[in-house]
Amino acid sequence: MIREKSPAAKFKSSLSTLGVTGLVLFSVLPLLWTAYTSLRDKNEILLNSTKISLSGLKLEAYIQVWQDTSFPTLLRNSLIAVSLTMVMSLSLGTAAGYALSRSKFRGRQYVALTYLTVRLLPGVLLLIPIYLLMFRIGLLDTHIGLALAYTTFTLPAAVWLMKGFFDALPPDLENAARVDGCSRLGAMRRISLPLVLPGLAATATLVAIEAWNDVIFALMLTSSEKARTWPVGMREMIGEFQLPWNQLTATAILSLIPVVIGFSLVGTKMVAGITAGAIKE
Amino acid sequence: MRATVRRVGRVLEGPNFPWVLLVPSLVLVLVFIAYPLYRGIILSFSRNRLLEGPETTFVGLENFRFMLQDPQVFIATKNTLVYLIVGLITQMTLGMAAALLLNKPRRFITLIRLIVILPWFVPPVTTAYMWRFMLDADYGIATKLAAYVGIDIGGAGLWADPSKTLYGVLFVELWRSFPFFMLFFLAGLQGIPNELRDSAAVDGASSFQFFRHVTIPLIAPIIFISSLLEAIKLINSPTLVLLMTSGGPGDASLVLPLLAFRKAFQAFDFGYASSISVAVLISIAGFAIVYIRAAGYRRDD
Repeated sequence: MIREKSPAAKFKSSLSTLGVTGLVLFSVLPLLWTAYTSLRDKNEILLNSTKISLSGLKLEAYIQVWQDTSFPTLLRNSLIAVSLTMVMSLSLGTAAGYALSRSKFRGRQYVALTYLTVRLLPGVLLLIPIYLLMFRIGLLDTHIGLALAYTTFTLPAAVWLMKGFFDALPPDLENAARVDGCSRLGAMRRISLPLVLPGLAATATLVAIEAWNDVIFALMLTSSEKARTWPVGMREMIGEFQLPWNQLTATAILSLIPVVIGFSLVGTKMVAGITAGAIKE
Repeated sequence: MRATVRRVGRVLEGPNFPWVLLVPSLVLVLVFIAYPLYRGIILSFSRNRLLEGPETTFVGLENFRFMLQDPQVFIATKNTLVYLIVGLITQMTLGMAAALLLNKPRRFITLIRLIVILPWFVPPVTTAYMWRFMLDADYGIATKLAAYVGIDIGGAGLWADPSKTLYGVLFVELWRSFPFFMLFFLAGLQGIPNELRDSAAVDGASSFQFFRHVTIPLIAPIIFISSLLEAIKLINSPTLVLLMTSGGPGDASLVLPLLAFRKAFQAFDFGYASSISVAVLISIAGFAIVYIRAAGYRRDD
Protein backbone atom coordinates (compact mmCIF):
# COMPACT_ATOMS: atom_id res chain seq x y z
CA MET A 1 0.00 0.00 0.00
CA ILE A 2 1.35 3.41 -0.89
CA ARG A 3 1.16 5.92 1.92
CA GLU A 4 0.33 9.38 0.78
CA LYS A 5 -0.89 11.94 3.20
CA SER A 6 -3.90 14.04 2.35
CA PRO A 7 -4.50 17.17 4.46
CA ALA A 8 -7.27 15.31 6.29
CA ALA A 9 -4.98 12.39 7.10
CA LYS A 10 -2.29 14.79 8.24
CA PHE A 11 -4.77 16.53 10.54
CA LYS A 12 -5.86 13.19 11.89
CA SER A 13 -2.33 12.03 12.59
CA SER A 14 -1.35 15.24 14.37
CA LEU A 15 -4.57 14.96 16.39
CA SER A 16 -3.59 11.47 17.46
CA THR A 17 -0.08 12.64 18.33
CA LEU A 18 -1.68 15.30 20.49
CA GLY A 19 -3.84 12.65 22.15
CA VAL A 20 -0.87 10.37 22.81
CA THR A 21 1.12 13.28 24.26
CA GLY A 22 -1.80 14.14 26.53
CA LEU A 23 -2.06 10.56 27.74
CA VAL A 24 1.64 10.30 28.51
CA LEU A 25 1.58 13.61 30.39
CA PHE A 26 -1.53 12.64 32.34
CA SER A 27 0.16 9.40 33.41
CA VAL A 28 3.62 10.62 34.20
CA LEU A 29 3.35 14.29 35.25
CA PRO A 30 1.88 13.52 38.69
CA LEU A 31 4.83 11.22 39.39
CA LEU A 32 7.34 13.79 38.15
CA TRP A 33 5.72 16.52 40.21
CA THR A 34 5.93 14.27 43.27
CA ALA A 35 9.62 13.63 42.61
CA TYR A 36 10.19 17.38 42.15
CA THR A 37 8.40 18.20 45.40
CA SER A 38 10.48 15.67 47.30
CA LEU A 39 13.63 17.58 46.34
CA ARG A 40 12.34 21.00 47.40
CA ASP A 41 12.69 22.91 50.63
CA LYS A 42 9.68 22.37 52.88
CA ASN A 43 9.09 26.09 53.44
CA GLU A 44 9.50 26.84 49.75
CA ILE A 45 6.67 24.37 49.06
CA LEU A 46 4.36 26.27 51.40
CA LEU A 47 5.37 29.74 50.16
CA ASN A 48 5.51 29.13 46.40
CA SER A 49 3.68 25.86 46.04
CA THR A 50 3.52 25.75 42.27
CA LYS A 51 6.75 27.51 41.37
CA ILE A 52 9.03 25.51 39.13
CA SER A 53 12.72 26.14 39.60
CA LEU A 54 15.65 23.79 39.53
CA SER A 55 17.79 25.79 41.91
CA GLY A 56 17.77 24.92 45.60
CA LEU A 57 16.84 21.30 45.07
CA LYS A 58 18.31 18.96 47.67
CA LEU A 59 18.16 15.45 49.04
CA GLU A 60 17.48 16.65 52.58
CA ALA A 61 14.00 15.07 52.78
CA TYR A 62 15.33 11.65 51.82
CA ILE A 63 18.04 11.82 54.47
CA GLN A 64 15.49 12.91 57.09
CA VAL A 65 13.10 10.12 56.16
CA TRP A 66 15.93 7.61 56.34
CA GLN A 67 17.36 8.81 59.65
CA ASP A 68 14.49 10.27 61.65
CA THR A 69 11.56 7.99 60.82
CA SER A 70 10.98 4.28 61.13
CA PHE A 71 10.77 4.02 57.36
CA PRO A 72 13.87 1.76 56.96
CA THR A 73 12.39 -0.75 59.43
CA LEU A 74 9.08 -0.64 57.61
CA LEU A 75 10.80 -1.20 54.28
CA ARG A 76 12.67 -4.17 55.72
CA ASN A 77 9.41 -5.67 57.02
CA SER A 78 7.81 -5.18 53.61
CA LEU A 79 10.74 -6.82 51.85
CA ILE A 80 10.60 -9.86 54.15
CA ALA A 81 6.84 -10.29 53.73
CA VAL A 82 7.10 -9.84 49.97
CA SER A 83 9.97 -12.34 49.63
CA LEU A 84 8.13 -14.97 51.66
CA THR A 85 5.01 -14.37 49.58
CA MET A 86 6.94 -14.75 46.34
CA VAL A 87 8.53 -18.03 47.38
CA MET A 88 5.23 -19.55 48.53
CA SER A 89 2.99 -18.14 45.84
CA LEU A 90 5.36 -19.05 43.00
CA SER A 91 6.12 -22.61 44.09
CA LEU A 92 2.47 -23.37 44.76
CA GLY A 93 1.32 -21.48 41.68
CA THR A 94 3.81 -23.22 39.38
CA ALA A 95 2.84 -26.66 40.67
CA ALA A 96 -0.89 -25.98 40.40
CA GLY A 97 -0.57 -24.21 37.05
CA TYR A 98 1.41 -27.12 35.66
CA ALA A 99 -1.17 -29.63 36.90
CA LEU A 100 -4.06 -27.66 35.40
CA SER A 101 -2.24 -27.24 32.11
CA ARG A 102 -0.94 -30.78 31.63
CA SER A 103 -3.80 -33.03 32.64
CA LYS A 104 -7.44 -33.37 31.79
CA PHE A 105 -8.69 -34.86 35.05
CA ARG A 106 -12.33 -34.64 36.02
CA GLY A 107 -13.33 -31.60 38.03
CA ARG A 108 -10.56 -29.52 36.53
CA GLN A 109 -12.87 -26.59 35.77
CA TYR A 110 -14.04 -26.52 39.38
CA VAL A 111 -10.51 -26.25 40.68
CA ALA A 112 -9.81 -23.44 38.27
CA LEU A 113 -13.05 -21.78 39.31
CA THR A 114 -12.14 -21.94 43.00
CA TYR A 115 -9.16 -19.79 42.27
CA LEU A 116 -11.27 -17.20 40.46
CA THR A 117 -14.00 -17.11 43.11
CA VAL A 118 -11.44 -15.82 45.58
CA ARG A 119 -11.48 -12.51 43.70
CA LEU A 120 -15.22 -12.18 44.10
CA LEU A 121 -15.27 -12.22 47.89
CA PRO A 122 -15.33 -8.94 49.84
CA GLY A 123 -12.02 -8.62 51.65
CA VAL A 124 -13.53 -7.55 54.96
CA LEU A 125 -15.74 -10.64 55.12
CA LEU A 126 -12.65 -12.86 55.05
CA LEU A 127 -10.48 -10.48 57.03
CA ILE A 128 -12.43 -10.77 60.27
CA PRO A 129 -12.17 -14.58 60.47
CA ILE A 130 -8.58 -14.50 59.19
CA TYR A 131 -7.79 -11.98 61.92
CA LEU A 132 -9.40 -14.25 64.54
CA LEU A 133 -7.61 -17.28 63.08
CA MET A 134 -4.21 -15.59 63.05
CA PHE A 135 -4.86 -14.42 66.60
CA ARG A 136 -5.56 -17.99 67.70
CA ILE A 137 -2.54 -19.57 66.02
CA GLY A 138 -0.27 -16.74 67.13
CA LEU A 139 0.58 -15.37 63.71
CA LEU A 140 -0.81 -11.88 64.26
CA ASP A 141 1.86 -9.22 63.76
CA THR A 142 4.35 -11.66 62.18
CA HIS A 143 5.94 -11.66 58.73
CA ILE A 144 4.86 -15.22 58.03
CA GLY A 145 1.22 -14.52 58.97
CA LEU A 146 1.07 -11.61 56.59
CA ALA A 147 2.85 -13.59 53.87
CA LEU A 148 0.37 -16.46 54.25
CA ALA A 149 -2.53 -14.05 53.71
CA TYR A 150 -0.81 -12.50 50.68
CA THR A 151 -0.02 -15.92 49.25
CA THR A 152 -3.66 -16.95 49.43
CA PHE A 153 -4.77 -13.83 47.64
CA THR A 154 -2.06 -13.76 44.97
CA LEU A 155 -2.25 -17.49 44.33
CA PRO A 156 -5.23 -17.27 41.92
CA ALA A 157 -3.32 -14.91 39.64
CA ALA A 158 -0.12 -16.95 39.93
CA VAL A 159 -1.88 -20.21 39.07
CA TRP A 160 -3.77 -18.62 36.22
CA LEU A 161 -0.73 -16.97 34.66
CA MET A 162 1.51 -20.03 35.05
CA LYS A 163 -1.16 -22.24 33.52
CA GLY A 164 -1.21 -19.87 30.54
CA PHE A 165 2.58 -19.98 30.16
CA PHE A 166 2.64 -23.80 30.37
CA ASP A 167 -0.24 -23.98 27.87
CA ALA A 168 1.82 -21.98 25.41
CA LEU A 169 4.64 -24.56 25.38
CA PRO A 170 4.48 -27.26 22.72
CA PRO A 171 3.67 -30.51 24.63
CA ASP A 172 5.85 -32.52 22.19
CA LEU A 173 9.02 -31.26 23.85
CA GLU A 174 8.14 -32.85 27.16
CA ASN A 175 6.77 -35.98 25.51
CA ALA A 176 10.03 -36.44 23.64
CA ALA A 177 11.99 -36.16 26.85
CA ARG A 178 9.75 -38.71 28.51
CA VAL A 179 10.11 -41.16 25.64
CA ASP A 180 13.84 -40.80 26.13
CA GLY A 181 13.40 -42.01 29.69
CA CYS A 182 13.06 -38.76 31.61
CA SER A 183 10.72 -38.81 34.63
CA ARG A 184 7.81 -36.38 34.78
CA LEU A 185 9.54 -34.38 37.46
CA GLY A 186 12.72 -34.41 35.41
CA ALA A 187 10.91 -33.34 32.26
CA MET A 188 9.23 -30.52 34.13
CA ARG A 189 12.45 -29.37 35.72
CA ARG A 190 14.78 -29.75 32.75
CA ILE A 191 12.49 -28.95 29.83
CA SER A 192 9.43 -26.91 30.82
CA LEU A 193 10.65 -24.79 33.71
CA PRO A 194 13.59 -23.23 31.84
CA LEU A 195 11.24 -22.41 28.98
CA VAL A 196 8.67 -20.66 31.18
CA LEU A 197 11.34 -18.77 33.13
CA PRO A 198 10.43 -15.40 31.53
CA GLY A 199 6.80 -16.07 32.39
CA LEU A 200 7.80 -17.03 35.91
CA ALA A 201 9.69 -13.75 36.27
CA ALA A 202 6.65 -11.82 35.08
CA THR A 203 4.39 -13.66 37.51
CA ALA A 204 6.89 -13.08 40.31
CA THR A 205 6.87 -9.36 39.62
CA LEU A 206 3.09 -9.21 39.60
CA VAL A 207 2.86 -11.13 42.89
CA ALA A 208 5.57 -8.98 44.44
CA ILE A 209 3.93 -5.73 43.39
CA GLU A 210 0.56 -6.83 44.74
CA ALA A 211 2.04 -7.77 48.11
CA TRP A 212 4.24 -4.65 48.18
CA ASN A 213 1.26 -2.38 47.52
CA ASP A 214 -1.23 -3.91 49.95
CA VAL A 215 -2.68 -1.71 52.68
CA ILE A 216 -5.77 -3.45 54.00
CA PHE A 217 -4.25 -6.75 55.15
CA ALA A 218 -1.21 -5.12 56.66
CA LEU A 219 -3.43 -2.63 58.45
CA MET A 220 -5.33 -5.44 60.17
CA LEU A 221 -2.78 -8.17 60.62
CA THR A 222 0.10 -6.11 61.98
CA SER A 223 0.09 -3.97 65.08
CA SER A 224 3.70 -2.95 65.77
CA GLU A 225 7.00 -2.27 64.07
CA LYS A 226 7.75 -5.97 64.39
CA ALA A 227 5.94 -6.67 61.15
CA ARG A 228 4.25 -3.43 60.03
CA THR A 229 4.81 -2.75 56.33
CA TRP A 230 5.60 0.58 54.71
CA PRO A 231 2.10 1.49 53.40
CA VAL A 232 0.61 1.22 56.89
CA GLY A 233 3.57 2.97 58.43
CA MET A 234 3.31 5.79 55.93
CA ARG A 235 -0.38 6.20 56.67
CA GLU A 236 0.42 6.49 60.38
CA MET A 237 3.35 8.82 59.93
CA ILE A 238 1.12 11.16 57.94
CA GLY A 239 -1.71 10.94 60.43
CA GLU A 240 0.27 11.19 63.65
CA PHE A 241 3.34 13.20 62.88
CA GLN A 242 1.99 15.52 60.19
CA LEU A 243 4.88 14.71 57.90
CA PRO A 244 5.97 17.77 55.89
CA TRP A 245 5.21 17.62 52.17
CA ASN A 246 8.79 17.09 51.04
CA GLN A 247 9.26 14.09 53.34
CA LEU A 248 5.87 12.70 52.40
CA THR A 249 6.68 12.85 48.70
CA ALA A 250 10.16 11.46 49.38
CA THR A 251 8.66 8.35 50.99
CA ALA A 252 6.29 8.09 48.02
CA ILE A 253 9.21 8.12 45.60
CA LEU A 254 11.23 5.64 47.68
CA SER A 255 8.28 3.24 47.72
CA LEU A 256 7.97 3.54 43.99
CA ILE A 257 11.56 2.52 43.19
CA PRO A 258 11.16 -1.27 43.54
CA VAL A 259 7.93 -1.14 41.54
CA VAL A 260 9.52 0.78 38.70
CA ILE A 261 12.59 -1.47 38.64
CA GLY A 262 10.52 -4.66 38.58
CA PHE A 263 8.13 -3.23 36.05
CA SER A 264 10.81 -2.03 33.65
CA LEU A 265 12.53 -5.42 33.79
CA VAL A 266 9.55 -7.57 32.91
CA GLY A 267 6.79 -5.07 32.12
CA THR A 268 6.14 -6.07 28.52
CA LYS A 269 6.20 -9.78 29.32
CA MET A 270 3.87 -9.26 32.26
CA VAL A 271 1.45 -7.22 30.22
CA ALA A 272 1.51 -9.90 27.52
CA GLY A 273 0.80 -12.60 30.11
CA ILE A 274 -2.13 -10.75 31.65
CA THR A 275 -3.79 -10.03 28.34
CA ALA A 276 -3.08 -13.49 26.87
CA GLY A 277 -4.97 -15.01 29.79
CA ALA A 278 -7.83 -12.61 29.16
CA ILE A 279 -8.15 -13.41 25.50
CA LYS A 280 -8.13 -17.14 25.98
CA GLU A 281 -11.09 -17.02 28.33
CA MET B 1 15.57 -36.14 51.49
CA ARG B 2 16.58 -38.10 48.40
CA ALA B 3 14.10 -40.86 49.28
CA THR B 4 11.29 -38.31 49.60
CA VAL B 5 12.11 -36.82 46.23
CA ARG B 6 12.07 -40.29 44.72
CA ARG B 7 8.71 -41.08 46.32
CA VAL B 8 7.21 -37.81 45.06
CA GLY B 9 8.70 -38.60 41.68
CA ARG B 10 7.01 -42.02 41.65
CA VAL B 11 3.60 -40.56 42.56
CA LEU B 12 4.04 -37.99 39.81
CA GLU B 13 4.32 -40.83 37.27
CA GLY B 14 0.92 -42.17 38.32
CA PRO B 15 -2.53 -41.04 37.24
CA ASN B 16 -3.00 -38.92 40.37
CA PHE B 17 -0.13 -36.59 39.64
CA PRO B 18 -2.24 -33.43 39.17
CA TRP B 19 -3.70 -33.80 42.64
CA VAL B 20 -0.28 -34.09 44.25
CA LEU B 21 0.65 -30.77 42.70
CA LEU B 22 -2.68 -29.14 43.53
CA VAL B 23 -3.08 -30.25 47.14
CA PRO B 24 -0.77 -27.67 48.76
CA SER B 25 -2.58 -24.73 47.16
CA LEU B 26 -5.98 -26.27 47.82
CA VAL B 27 -5.10 -26.65 51.51
CA LEU B 28 -4.11 -23.00 51.65
CA VAL B 29 -7.33 -21.94 49.95
CA LEU B 30 -9.31 -24.16 52.32
CA VAL B 31 -7.69 -22.73 55.46
CA PHE B 32 -7.53 -19.06 54.47
CA ILE B 33 -10.52 -18.72 52.13
CA ALA B 34 -13.10 -21.47 52.61
CA TYR B 35 -12.96 -21.60 56.39
CA PRO B 36 -12.96 -17.79 56.82
CA LEU B 37 -15.85 -17.56 54.38
CA TYR B 38 -17.82 -20.11 56.39
CA ARG B 39 -16.95 -18.32 59.65
CA GLY B 40 -17.82 -14.96 58.13
CA ILE B 41 -21.25 -16.14 57.09
CA ILE B 42 -21.88 -17.63 60.56
CA LEU B 43 -20.73 -14.34 62.12
CA SER B 44 -23.18 -12.38 60.00
CA PHE B 45 -26.02 -14.16 61.82
CA SER B 46 -24.38 -13.61 65.18
CA ARG B 47 -23.73 -11.03 67.80
CA ASN B 48 -19.99 -10.80 68.30
CA ARG B 49 -18.61 -7.63 69.79
CA LEU B 50 -15.06 -7.90 70.95
CA LEU B 51 -15.53 -5.05 73.42
CA GLU B 52 -18.31 -6.96 75.19
CA GLY B 53 -16.37 -10.22 75.33
CA PRO B 54 -15.25 -13.00 73.03
CA GLU B 55 -18.50 -14.98 72.88
CA THR B 56 -20.63 -15.37 69.78
CA THR B 57 -24.41 -15.64 70.10
CA PHE B 58 -26.67 -16.64 67.26
CA VAL B 59 -29.21 -13.89 66.59
CA GLY B 60 -30.71 -14.97 63.26
CA LEU B 61 -31.55 -12.12 60.93
CA GLU B 62 -31.30 -9.35 63.52
CA ASN B 63 -28.17 -7.80 61.99
CA PHE B 64 -29.78 -7.71 58.57
CA ARG B 65 -32.98 -6.22 59.97
CA PHE B 66 -30.94 -3.52 61.67
CA MET B 67 -29.14 -2.81 58.41
CA LEU B 68 -32.39 -1.88 56.67
CA GLN B 69 -32.96 1.03 59.05
CA ASP B 70 -29.35 2.10 59.46
CA PRO B 71 -28.95 5.55 57.84
CA GLN B 72 -25.21 4.93 57.34
CA VAL B 73 -25.98 1.83 55.29
CA PHE B 74 -28.32 3.93 53.14
CA ILE B 75 -25.68 6.60 52.47
CA ALA B 76 -22.97 4.00 51.86
CA THR B 77 -25.15 2.08 49.39
CA LYS B 78 -25.89 5.25 47.46
CA ASN B 79 -22.19 6.21 47.37
CA THR B 80 -21.14 2.69 46.37
CA LEU B 81 -23.52 2.81 43.41
CA VAL B 82 -22.21 6.23 42.34
CA TYR B 83 -18.65 4.96 42.74
CA LEU B 84 -19.42 1.88 40.66
CA ILE B 85 -21.33 3.54 37.83
CA VAL B 86 -19.30 6.74 37.44
CA GLY B 87 -16.09 4.78 37.94
CA LEU B 88 -16.91 2.24 35.26
CA ILE B 89 -18.11 4.77 32.68
CA THR B 90 -15.15 7.15 33.06
CA GLN B 91 -12.50 4.42 33.18
CA MET B 92 -13.90 2.50 30.22
CA THR B 93 -14.21 5.65 28.10
CA LEU B 94 -10.68 6.82 28.78
CA GLY B 95 -9.37 3.25 28.58
CA MET B 96 -10.92 2.79 25.13
CA ALA B 97 -9.67 6.15 23.88
CA ALA B 98 -6.18 5.31 25.09
CA ALA B 99 -6.27 1.84 23.54
CA LEU B 100 -7.36 3.26 20.16
CA LEU B 101 -4.63 5.90 20.32
CA LEU B 102 -1.89 3.45 21.25
CA ASN B 103 -3.00 0.68 18.91
CA LYS B 104 -1.21 1.95 15.82
CA PRO B 105 2.54 1.52 15.58
CA ARG B 106 4.52 4.70 16.04
CA ARG B 107 7.94 5.59 17.36
CA PHE B 108 8.64 4.48 20.95
CA ILE B 109 5.22 2.80 21.10
CA THR B 110 6.31 0.12 23.60
CA LEU B 111 7.81 2.73 25.91
CA ILE B 112 4.70 4.90 25.59
CA ARG B 113 2.46 1.96 26.44
CA LEU B 114 4.54 1.11 29.49
CA ILE B 115 4.43 4.72 30.72
CA VAL B 116 0.66 4.89 30.36
CA ILE B 117 0.25 1.58 32.22
CA LEU B 118 2.50 2.70 35.07
CA PRO B 119 -0.24 4.37 37.21
CA TRP B 120 -1.86 0.97 37.57
CA PHE B 121 1.23 -0.31 39.38
CA VAL B 122 1.83 2.68 41.63
CA PRO B 123 1.13 1.69 45.26
CA PRO B 124 -2.33 2.94 46.32
CA VAL B 125 -0.84 4.66 49.36
CA THR B 126 1.49 6.61 47.09
CA THR B 127 -1.31 7.42 44.65
CA ALA B 128 -3.58 8.55 47.47
CA TYR B 129 -1.17 10.94 49.18
CA MET B 130 0.32 12.16 45.93
CA TRP B 131 -3.08 13.25 44.69
CA ARG B 132 -4.21 14.57 48.06
CA PHE B 133 -1.21 16.84 47.86
CA MET B 134 -1.78 17.84 44.23
CA LEU B 135 -5.48 18.44 44.84
CA ASP B 136 -4.90 20.33 48.08
CA ALA B 137 -6.96 23.54 48.26
CA ASP B 138 -3.97 25.76 49.08
CA TYR B 139 -0.85 24.03 47.79
CA GLY B 140 -2.11 21.71 45.08
CA ILE B 141 -0.87 22.19 41.56
CA ALA B 142 -3.84 20.29 40.13
CA THR B 143 -6.23 22.64 41.95
CA LYS B 144 -4.42 25.63 40.44
CA LEU B 145 -4.31 24.10 36.98
CA ALA B 146 -8.03 23.36 37.20
CA ALA B 147 -8.68 26.97 38.20
CA TYR B 148 -6.51 28.08 35.29
CA VAL B 149 -8.71 26.28 32.77
CA GLY B 150 -11.85 27.52 34.49
CA ILE B 151 -12.79 24.67 36.83
CA ASP B 152 -13.32 26.20 40.24
CA ILE B 153 -12.96 23.56 42.92
CA GLY B 154 -14.03 26.03 45.60
CA GLY B 155 -12.30 27.65 48.55
CA ALA B 156 -12.59 24.66 50.89
CA GLY B 157 -11.09 22.31 48.31
CA LEU B 158 -12.14 18.86 47.22
CA TRP B 159 -11.53 17.12 50.51
CA ALA B 160 -13.58 19.41 52.75
CA ASP B 161 -16.60 19.81 50.49
CA PRO B 162 -19.07 16.95 51.08
CA SER B 163 -20.65 17.36 47.65
CA LYS B 164 -17.32 16.93 45.83
CA THR B 165 -15.19 14.55 47.89
CA LEU B 166 -16.44 11.32 46.34
CA TYR B 167 -15.84 12.72 42.85
CA GLY B 168 -12.33 13.70 43.89
CA VAL B 169 -11.62 10.09 44.83
CA LEU B 170 -13.28 8.96 41.59
CA PHE B 171 -10.91 11.16 39.62
CA VAL B 172 -7.94 9.55 41.33
CA GLU B 173 -9.48 6.12 40.76
CA LEU B 174 -9.74 7.05 37.07
CA TRP B 175 -6.04 7.95 36.96
CA ARG B 176 -5.12 4.72 38.67
CA SER B 177 -7.44 2.27 36.91
CA PHE B 178 -7.95 3.39 33.31
CA PRO B 179 -4.73 1.58 32.29
CA PHE B 180 -6.40 -1.66 33.34
CA PHE B 181 -9.04 -1.20 30.64
CA MET B 182 -6.51 0.13 28.18
CA LEU B 183 -4.45 -3.01 28.62
CA PHE B 184 -7.37 -5.34 27.96
CA PHE B 185 -8.83 -3.30 25.09
CA LEU B 186 -5.42 -2.96 23.48
CA ALA B 187 -4.96 -6.73 23.59
CA GLY B 188 -8.33 -7.06 21.88
CA LEU B 189 -7.56 -4.45 19.21
CA GLN B 190 -4.26 -6.14 18.46
CA GLY B 191 -6.18 -9.30 17.67
CA ILE B 192 -8.23 -7.66 14.91
CA PRO B 193 -6.65 -8.60 11.56
CA ASN B 194 -5.51 -5.74 9.34
CA GLU B 195 -7.25 -7.26 6.28
CA LEU B 196 -10.58 -6.55 7.98
CA ARG B 197 -9.71 -2.87 8.27
CA ASP B 198 -8.55 -2.73 4.65
CA SER B 199 -11.66 -4.41 3.27
CA ALA B 200 -13.89 -2.16 5.35
CA ALA B 201 -12.02 0.84 3.96
CA VAL B 202 -12.56 -0.48 0.42
CA ASP B 203 -16.26 -0.80 1.17
CA GLY B 204 -16.26 2.85 2.19
CA ALA B 205 -16.88 2.40 5.91
CA SER B 206 -15.92 5.38 8.07
CA SER B 207 -13.67 4.80 11.07
CA PHE B 208 -16.63 5.32 13.36
CA GLN B 209 -18.70 2.75 11.47
CA PHE B 210 -15.80 0.33 11.62
CA PHE B 211 -15.48 0.91 15.36
CA ARG B 212 -19.21 0.51 15.96
CA HIS B 213 -19.88 -2.52 13.73
CA VAL B 214 -16.58 -4.41 13.64
CA THR B 215 -14.35 -3.46 16.58
CA ILE B 216 -16.96 -3.44 19.35
CA PRO B 217 -18.57 -6.79 18.44
CA LEU B 218 -15.16 -8.41 18.03
CA ILE B 219 -13.81 -7.34 21.39
CA ALA B 220 -17.16 -7.68 23.21
CA PRO B 221 -15.96 -10.68 25.26
CA ILE B 222 -12.98 -8.67 26.48
CA ILE B 223 -15.14 -5.65 27.32
CA PHE B 224 -17.41 -7.99 29.20
CA ILE B 225 -14.80 -9.77 31.31
CA SER B 226 -12.73 -6.65 32.07
CA SER B 227 -15.73 -4.57 33.13
CA LEU B 228 -16.95 -7.39 35.35
CA LEU B 229 -13.56 -7.68 37.06
CA GLU B 230 -13.29 -3.91 37.53
CA ALA B 231 -16.89 -3.66 38.80
CA ILE B 232 -16.12 -6.27 41.45
CA LYS B 233 -13.00 -4.35 42.44
CA LEU B 234 -14.85 -1.02 42.63
CA ILE B 235 -17.52 -2.52 44.89
CA ASN B 236 -15.21 -4.61 47.05
CA SER B 237 -12.11 -2.58 47.65
CA PRO B 238 -12.23 0.37 50.03
CA THR B 239 -8.50 1.06 49.75
CA LEU B 240 -8.50 4.38 47.92
CA VAL B 241 -11.48 5.85 49.79
CA LEU B 242 -10.00 4.70 53.08
CA LEU B 243 -6.67 6.34 52.36
CA MET B 244 -7.93 9.57 50.82
CA THR B 245 -10.96 10.53 52.88
CA SER B 246 -11.67 7.72 55.39
CA GLY B 247 -15.26 8.20 54.25
CA GLY B 248 -15.40 11.87 55.24
CA PRO B 249 -16.11 14.68 55.59
CA GLY B 250 -18.79 13.23 57.87
CA ASP B 251 -20.07 10.26 55.93
CA ALA B 252 -20.02 12.06 52.57
CA SER B 253 -17.77 9.54 50.84
CA LEU B 254 -18.62 6.47 52.89
CA VAL B 255 -18.84 3.29 50.81
CA LEU B 256 -20.11 -0.13 51.92
CA PRO B 257 -16.81 -2.02 52.31
CA LEU B 258 -15.40 0.92 54.26
CA LEU B 259 -18.45 0.93 56.54
CA ALA B 260 -17.92 -2.79 57.17
CA PHE B 261 -14.25 -2.12 57.78
CA ARG B 262 -15.04 0.64 60.27
CA LYS B 263 -17.59 -1.51 62.10
CA ALA B 264 -15.11 -4.36 62.32
CA PHE B 265 -11.87 -2.71 63.24
CA GLN B 266 -12.92 0.53 64.91
CA ALA B 267 -16.08 -0.58 66.71
CA PHE B 268 -15.00 -4.25 66.87
CA ASP B 269 -18.58 -5.23 66.01
CA PHE B 270 -17.60 -8.32 64.02
CA GLY B 271 -21.17 -9.62 63.69
CA TYR B 272 -22.63 -6.51 62.09
CA ALA B 273 -19.55 -5.93 59.90
CA SER B 274 -19.89 -9.48 58.58
CA SER B 275 -23.58 -8.98 57.76
CA ILE B 276 -22.76 -5.87 55.73
CA SER B 277 -20.09 -7.84 53.85
CA VAL B 278 -22.46 -10.74 53.23
CA ALA B 279 -25.04 -8.30 51.85
CA VAL B 280 -22.35 -6.87 49.55
CA LEU B 281 -21.38 -10.37 48.46
CA ILE B 282 -24.98 -11.28 47.66
CA SER B 283 -25.42 -8.05 45.67
CA ILE B 284 -22.22 -8.71 43.70
CA ALA B 285 -23.25 -12.27 42.95
CA GLY B 286 -26.70 -11.06 41.86
CA PHE B 287 -25.19 -8.31 39.74
CA ALA B 288 -22.76 -10.78 38.13
CA ILE B 289 -25.54 -13.22 37.29
CA VAL B 290 -27.72 -10.51 35.73
CA TYR B 291 -24.72 -9.14 33.85
CA ILE B 292 -23.68 -12.55 32.52
CA ARG B 293 -27.27 -13.30 31.48
CA ALA B 294 -27.56 -9.96 29.70
CA ALA B 295 -24.31 -10.52 27.83
CA GLY B 296 -25.35 -14.08 26.98
CA TYR B 297 -28.60 -12.84 25.46
CA ARG B 298 -26.78 -10.55 23.11
CA ARG B 299 -24.58 -13.36 21.89
CA ASP B 300 -27.59 -15.52 21.04
CA ASP B 301 -29.17 -12.87 18.80
